[in-house]
Amino acid sequence: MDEYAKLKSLLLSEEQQRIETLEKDLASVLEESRDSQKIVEKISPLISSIFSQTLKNSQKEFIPIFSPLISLAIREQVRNEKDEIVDALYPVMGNMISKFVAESFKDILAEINSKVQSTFSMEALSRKIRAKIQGISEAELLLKDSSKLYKIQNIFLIHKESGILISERSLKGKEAIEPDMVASMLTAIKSFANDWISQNSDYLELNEIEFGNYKISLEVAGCCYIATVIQGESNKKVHHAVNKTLEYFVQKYSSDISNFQGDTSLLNLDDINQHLESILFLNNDQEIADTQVKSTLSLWILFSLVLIIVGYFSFNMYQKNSIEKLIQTSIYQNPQLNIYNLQAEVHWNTLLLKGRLPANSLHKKLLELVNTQKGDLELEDNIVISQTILTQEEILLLSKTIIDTYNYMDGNQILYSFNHGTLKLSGIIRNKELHKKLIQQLSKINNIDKIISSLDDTFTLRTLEIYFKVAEVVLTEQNKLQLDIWLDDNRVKENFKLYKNINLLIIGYSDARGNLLHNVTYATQRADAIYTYLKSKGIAQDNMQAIGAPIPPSDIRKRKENNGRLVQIKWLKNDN
Amino acid sequence: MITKKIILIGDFSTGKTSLIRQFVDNQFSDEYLTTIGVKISKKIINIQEDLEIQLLVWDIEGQTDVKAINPAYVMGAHGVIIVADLTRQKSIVNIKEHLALSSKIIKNAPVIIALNKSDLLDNSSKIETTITEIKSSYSNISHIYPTSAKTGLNVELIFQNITKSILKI
Ligand SMILES: Nc1nc2c(ncn2[C@@H]2O[C@H](COP(=O)(O)OP(=O)(O)OP(=O)(O)O)[C@@H](O)[C@H]2O)c(=O)[nH]1
Ligand SMILES: [Mg+2]
Repeated sequence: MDEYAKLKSLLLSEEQQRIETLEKDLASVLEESRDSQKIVEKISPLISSIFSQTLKNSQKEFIPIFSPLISLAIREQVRNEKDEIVDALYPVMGNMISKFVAESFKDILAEINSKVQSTFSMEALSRKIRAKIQGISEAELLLKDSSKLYKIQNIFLIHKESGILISERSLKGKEAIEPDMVASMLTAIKSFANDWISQNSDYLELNEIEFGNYKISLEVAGCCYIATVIQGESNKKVHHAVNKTLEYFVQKYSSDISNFQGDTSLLNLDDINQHLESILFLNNDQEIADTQVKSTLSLWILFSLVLIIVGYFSFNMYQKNSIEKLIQTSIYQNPQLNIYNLQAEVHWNTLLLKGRLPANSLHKKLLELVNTQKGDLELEDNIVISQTILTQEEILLLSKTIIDTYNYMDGNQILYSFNHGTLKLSGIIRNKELHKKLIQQLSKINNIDKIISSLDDTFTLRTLEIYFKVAEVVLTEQNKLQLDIWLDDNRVKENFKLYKNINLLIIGYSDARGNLLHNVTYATQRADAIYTYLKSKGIAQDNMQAIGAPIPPSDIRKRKENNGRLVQIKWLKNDN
Repeated sequence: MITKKIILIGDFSTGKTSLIRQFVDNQFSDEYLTTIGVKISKKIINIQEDLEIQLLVWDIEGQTDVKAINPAYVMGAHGVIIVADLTRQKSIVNIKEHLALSSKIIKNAPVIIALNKSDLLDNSSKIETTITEIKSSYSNISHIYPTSAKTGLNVELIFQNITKSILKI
């Protein structure tokens, strides 16, 4: 060993040792860093704390990174195993949803509360006191009062996929006819609606069907659903009960129901029915709630003694309030007045009327109405009389509505235009009387200054007849002249222009003497001759139809002129 | 009582509605009123002396070139009757699609093929060849019957047989 080495070992032996241990350590660390297994082992206990630490400090940066992944994963899962997920989540979701609903109810309640507070009336006072006694908010009481009007009539528990009825419970005397069919049909309707809805959005379900005063509400879980037929308003109590029941079924019978193959004997129907019936019992609860409200009435009488002291002031207010309501109601019920936005308000001793009316006569009517009801209140009349100015479009629309109803009638074909206050009418109207009536109706429209009508009210779709000599089928010069004159008539031209769907029916007749076959041939050839002539004069083929009548009707046969050897040209309006 | 859902699918105007009408009401009409959505009928049949089954028969809107069958109606069916029109080759070709749809949506449900309007063909050899053709291309289908909603041929039978297949008896 040379001097230097000796010295080194003397001086640096300690360091040397440390280096060695360091090297060893380093080697093992390096080795571990290559072994992913080991890394995982090492890191995993730390991950959660890393995450919570990092997330705490920079939550904002992580959200955008993770959220697309998460929503993708959820969506994928929902798509593949929708029913399972619904079933798994149902107990939680049911709660969540009802909580959410309860929240939004709270908002509604708050709103009602504020309304209640602002109207200080006898009724409101009594409600306030009742609410205090029962320890609930006044608004809830209001809702309670207003939600008495429902009756659950039938409850169906239905297998979701096949639509087969699992069980049905009904109110006595309200049993469903053919419940099996109802269950299937509801399911079909649901599928039909869902198919249609899902073209627009993914996860919506039909959940209520309404007809008249009945509602069928559908509460759906993964394997089954409950349809409740309710008369009157459904409410949160019913929903809650149905949800709870469904939740129970899902938790207890999920696999039984999923595997249901139409054989109810394999299910615990007794228990299922019992739970369904508990929903029906809500009907009775209603009555119980009613009596509870009544029993608080006696307490209320006690408090009303106090009320008397609060007394006169509020009573006065109450009276005024009820007059206000009375007047408002009678305005709403008056068909002439209720289309205008009129307000009647009681302020202290005065009744204030506000709003706009288009005519003095209506104003008079309003005052008559109010005077009989206002008692000793003074009247402050702020009604403004002003004619509403109709826009060009509104006038056109009104005119169109009236004219259209006329145009539906056979024989009327009315054209119109409106410009600078002038309504111009042209075309054909059936008779003078109708013409007068139309003008009368149109002149009632505000802001039409002038109506100019060139409507023809003398026009009839008269049948033209062309006569033939014995055994003649060719048009004579005279016949042609007659047709030319007819064609030249402005009205005929007008007719073709106005009635787009008009046709000419050309019927040929014979005198019916002799051989039938000959007669048919004559009749047909006569009609054809006219058809050909009219065609040559420019009448469209599509608008004409020529036929020969085999045996002329007796009234034609008896004709003095040519014994029925004639052709009739009839107008045929094709209204479909 | 045990209830089973039977569906009838197939091309439009192959006679689904007519077959059901013959089965349920013993009636037939030449009028064609196309089904919209689905129509449901009920019939209780006796499979054996002591075995009554309630059938809810779903008459599903026929497939046209522009509208496919709504799969939701097919869901949960216990038995499928595919109806084709012997006089319309296209409806026979399309049996394949209907088979694919039903086997995709419902597993293990028996399928019967009804070759309807057999009364319109006067030589039965055409029917025989059609049946053998179908049998050779879909090996797993054993029940193929010529039917006629008009004469009632095999109508009762296909409903009886599909129910038996469902119950595996
Ligand atoms: N000759 C004959 N005609 C039939 C038969 N079955 C149905 N038809 C006629 O075929 C037409 C269509 O019958 P539908 O039963 O309405 O057909 P569908 O399959 O229900 O039709 P979509 O509801 O439109 O899918 C009707 O005119 C029936 O009268 C049959 O067995 N023989
Ligand atoms: Mg049909």
